[in-house]
Amino acid sequence: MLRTAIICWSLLLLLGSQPLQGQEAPSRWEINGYTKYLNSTTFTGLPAGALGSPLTTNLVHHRLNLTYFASESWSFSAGLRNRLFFADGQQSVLGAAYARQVDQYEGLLDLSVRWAENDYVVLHSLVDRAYVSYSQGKWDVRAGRQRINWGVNLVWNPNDLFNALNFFDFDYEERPGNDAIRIQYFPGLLSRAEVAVAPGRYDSTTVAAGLYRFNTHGYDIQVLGGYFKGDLALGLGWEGNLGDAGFKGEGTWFYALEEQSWLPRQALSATLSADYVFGNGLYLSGGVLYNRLGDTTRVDFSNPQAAEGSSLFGNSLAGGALSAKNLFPATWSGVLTVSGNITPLFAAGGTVIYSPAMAASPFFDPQSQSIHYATTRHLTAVIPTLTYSIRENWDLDLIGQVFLAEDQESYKHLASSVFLRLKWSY
Amino acid sequence: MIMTRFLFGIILTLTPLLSLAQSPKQILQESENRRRGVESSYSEMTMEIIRPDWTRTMSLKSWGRGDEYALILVTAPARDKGTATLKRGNEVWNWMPRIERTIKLPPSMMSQSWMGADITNEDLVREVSIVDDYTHTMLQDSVIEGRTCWKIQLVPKEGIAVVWGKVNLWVDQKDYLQMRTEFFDEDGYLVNVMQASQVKNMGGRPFATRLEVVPVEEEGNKTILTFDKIVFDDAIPESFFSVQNMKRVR
Repeated sequence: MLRTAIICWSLLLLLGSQPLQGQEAPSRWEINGYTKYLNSTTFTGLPAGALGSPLTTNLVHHRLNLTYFASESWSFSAGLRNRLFFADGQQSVLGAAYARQVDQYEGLLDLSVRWAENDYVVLHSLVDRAYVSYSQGKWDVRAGRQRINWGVNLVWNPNDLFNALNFFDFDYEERPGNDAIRIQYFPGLLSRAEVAVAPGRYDSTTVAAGLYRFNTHGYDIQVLGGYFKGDLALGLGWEGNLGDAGFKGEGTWFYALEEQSWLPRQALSATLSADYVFGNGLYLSGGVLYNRLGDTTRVDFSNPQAAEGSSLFGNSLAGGALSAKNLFPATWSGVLTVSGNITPLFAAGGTVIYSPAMAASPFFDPQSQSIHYATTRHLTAVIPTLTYSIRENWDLDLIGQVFLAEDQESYKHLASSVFLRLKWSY
Repeated sequence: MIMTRFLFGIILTLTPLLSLAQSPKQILQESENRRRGVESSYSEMTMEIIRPDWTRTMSLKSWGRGDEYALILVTAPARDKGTATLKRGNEVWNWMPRIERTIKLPPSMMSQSWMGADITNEDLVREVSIVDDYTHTMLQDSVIEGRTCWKIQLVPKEGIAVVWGKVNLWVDQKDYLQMRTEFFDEDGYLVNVMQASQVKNMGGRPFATRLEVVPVEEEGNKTILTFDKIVFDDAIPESFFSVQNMKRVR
């Protein structure tokens, strides 16, 4: 049923997208999206030629956003994400297990299809947006699969209860949608009150919270609170300026309604950041994260299937996926980003994330040929990026993610990935 | 985010393009009065950045009310479509539809340009008053695009922080349009030339629908602004410039 719907929809759009671009009054239809090709190669600290290192995967990724404006007040939106992974079967992570991992979705409705799942090809379609929107006066109401983004900062978002950003998962900036009802009320020009409920299949996946945001003395301030996956959550965030620099902060306190033996009952996730643009266009941003649960987290750098940054920090955190409650596997972390244009079409940047200490993690020791656990110190993630605008709507990116850390006495390479991405937007 | 500085420049160019009166100071005073007289405006425009080996085009819709309020929506290219920027006084927000988030921009972010466009904030925002902060000299009348113009030389007064050492301005004597502007650096070298053309009746008055900015020293480089639509004084209420509306405009 869903398969048929997706096929029909794709055909309809393929045939119908051209004449829909109106000139005068905005068209009732809005269609956009992109097609990307991503080549990723991951190296782990394992000896050369050992199991799956280096590991190369190719991904053709197509996205389609569609909105139909039925009237001034009513609109319907949908987002379709198709991904075709392919690799050399000899050195491949692909297969049924990988496809199931790709297919994980924390929603009420199953809106995905695995078309193929073998060692050479995984093809997956997902409807990650599907909602009805009603806007009238100061009210906005949305129901269905949607993104609820409460984050304030650029790297870590303790206030983003519904869908925390994984900084390393750069290829999915839209993030999965929540199956939710969201009611927003705008009492003033710069203020907003909202309530959102995203029921999960279990209490541990349900989020229901409210937020109030207002503007005073040049600052946007938000307070929020509610039920977060078995916890009571209370948060505060702000966006403002210190002189000409941007100054942002956000923090959320979590209290487990039922105590669990392996986790502290209370947790605090908080971050501060500042950013500044110099006259020559050089952008500088720095921030700090405190994560109470950071030392409860183990990251397995020896597993090549998980060693790509997005899955490393996305899937191996305590309690499953990365969330507002546990954003990075260390108690204290700092981030520094520098970026700028080398030519108008060519931009370069770099981000360094540093954590003084992490929890004991499994390591492969090439000398003893065995896996052992050790406390990781001085975890350093280095993320260089190069972006080139080939022509209008065609972008080429080269991105690296290098993870280094001190294990006992020596500083060593844990894992790293190189990504080459070609993107066409439409 | 990167285009913000440029965008505000554009919206503020719309209003000061009209002027009238006799002595150079009066002409410019009149221009400023006109500029304030224009309560609000809506426009649709396209910007082309032309370089010897590449070009890029961006299309925008913009709503403005005085100097205080502006809302700008990018309509092309597809990559940036839907990105909206709201300015209220000194505060600026960006709406990023791809990530469905509003970002409050630091003041220093205003100093960005898009793809190295030849128009900078200093040219366009004119935080410095062209009436009070410059001394004016009337030079010889000349004809620009078939229109007889007053040529006025502007030299910044002592202690005024401006990038330019001198500015020459040609004001059309019939419709009071600013037809040509030459920007000189502090050593007296000509840096940028802004030339208006294609005067059409738009928004109920004659309007130069094409602006071409040429950096004199860089051969083959220019930035062209084309206005496809302008509506003046179609009273846009202050409440239009809200965070809620930034997400809604199309």
